[in-house]
Amino acid sequence: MAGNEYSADSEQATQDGLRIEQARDGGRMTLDLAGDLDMYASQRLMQELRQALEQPIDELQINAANLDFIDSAGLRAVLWAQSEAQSKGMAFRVTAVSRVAERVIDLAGLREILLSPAA
Amino acid sequence: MLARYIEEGEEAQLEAAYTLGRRCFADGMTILGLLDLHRTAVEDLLAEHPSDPDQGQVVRTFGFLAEALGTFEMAQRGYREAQERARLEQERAAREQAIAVGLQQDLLPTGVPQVPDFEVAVRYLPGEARSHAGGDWYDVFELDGDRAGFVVGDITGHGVGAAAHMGQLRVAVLAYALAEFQPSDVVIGVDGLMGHLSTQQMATLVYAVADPAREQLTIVNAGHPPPLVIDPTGEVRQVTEGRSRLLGVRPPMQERPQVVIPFRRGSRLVLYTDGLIEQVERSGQDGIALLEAIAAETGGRKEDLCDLLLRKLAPDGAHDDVCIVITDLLL
Repeated sequence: MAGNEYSADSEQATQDGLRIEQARDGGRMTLDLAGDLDMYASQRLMQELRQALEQPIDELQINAANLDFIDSAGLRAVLWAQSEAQSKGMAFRVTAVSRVAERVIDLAGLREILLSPAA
Repeated sequence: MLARYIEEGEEAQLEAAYTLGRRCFADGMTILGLLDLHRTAVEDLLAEHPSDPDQGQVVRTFGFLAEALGTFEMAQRGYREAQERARLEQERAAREQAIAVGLQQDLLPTGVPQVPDFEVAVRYLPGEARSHAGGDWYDVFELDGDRAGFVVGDITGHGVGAAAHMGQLRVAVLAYALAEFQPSDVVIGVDGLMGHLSTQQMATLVYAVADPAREQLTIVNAGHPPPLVIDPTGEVRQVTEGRSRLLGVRPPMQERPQVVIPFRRGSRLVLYTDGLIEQVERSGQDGIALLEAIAAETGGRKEDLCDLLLRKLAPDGAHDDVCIVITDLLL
């Protein structure tokens, strides 16, 4: 996909096990998550999401295909981004989830909210 | 010391001076303070040789050195301030952890609640990592008609705030339950109530009502890991029915399912929070399947099963809160 701008934060010294990569393609912003999205990482993710939501975009996507772990605090961050995006009139989508993340989403009963194609 | 070093060039004197210098820094002396000490010592030495033509040069050299070291002095001060801030932050975190754990203890049932016909074992470990103590709770209580209610729940967040929110939710569940709402309505009520609390947290819980007369268990599960039921023959079952999404997502659900399953005398109910399976899940294993396997292998005392589960699933202590409630319906 030519024309994408990548800004990775991999150089930032972090104390958690989450890697976040942002890619912007026109009006669509994608956050690619890899590693562990736990309570500590979720605080940093919230900050990144808040910044992403400030951008002049019309779609926010989260790719969770490479998540090794997610807990309820991580789910909360994603749900928060979804409701913020929707209140700003942005489209929001979780594009892909790892098997582990899908299981946690199912346990939390959030499949319909987070993984339905219409969302 | 200085005189002997200058006159005799003794390395031993230099070594002693280093030690003394390090001790001075450790005791809080600044770089310029140490320089000043040296200046005084050198001036004392020079005073013994008033005719030395280099005197003026030496004094000016010290002045220049003081200017040059000013930057290092500032860096040193910054470093010491950062160290102090880190120490204060550590103290603050330890204090918050102590308060959160104290609050948890005050907001949880005291001891193991006694209910007729049932025997209950409880293990509750506050999370240890980085003031992680917080949001798990449990409850055991009598209901009308010799029934008993069992709750385990987990609210997101950590520290004092999570402990306080946990207390609110515990009371909310208890209030609806004791008012004899059926389990699904208890959860609907609590979910609705959360919209009126200041917290924007989410929570998961399982509420089970055991009826010894009918030998039945009614379970409602809001986004929580599935409970296990072990029947008198030792067969273990994950209860995956009666499940709906976790609490705190707006708008609240108007309807939630519950499930009624057989719970014969001699059966065992295992409730737990996700802190129990977190370590295993992080290593890529299915924590619930492992829990089920251990429960299947381990008959006998419920206390032993509690301890075995903790030993096998959370050997490194509690990162997050861990709560286990094992209940036997007596024969």
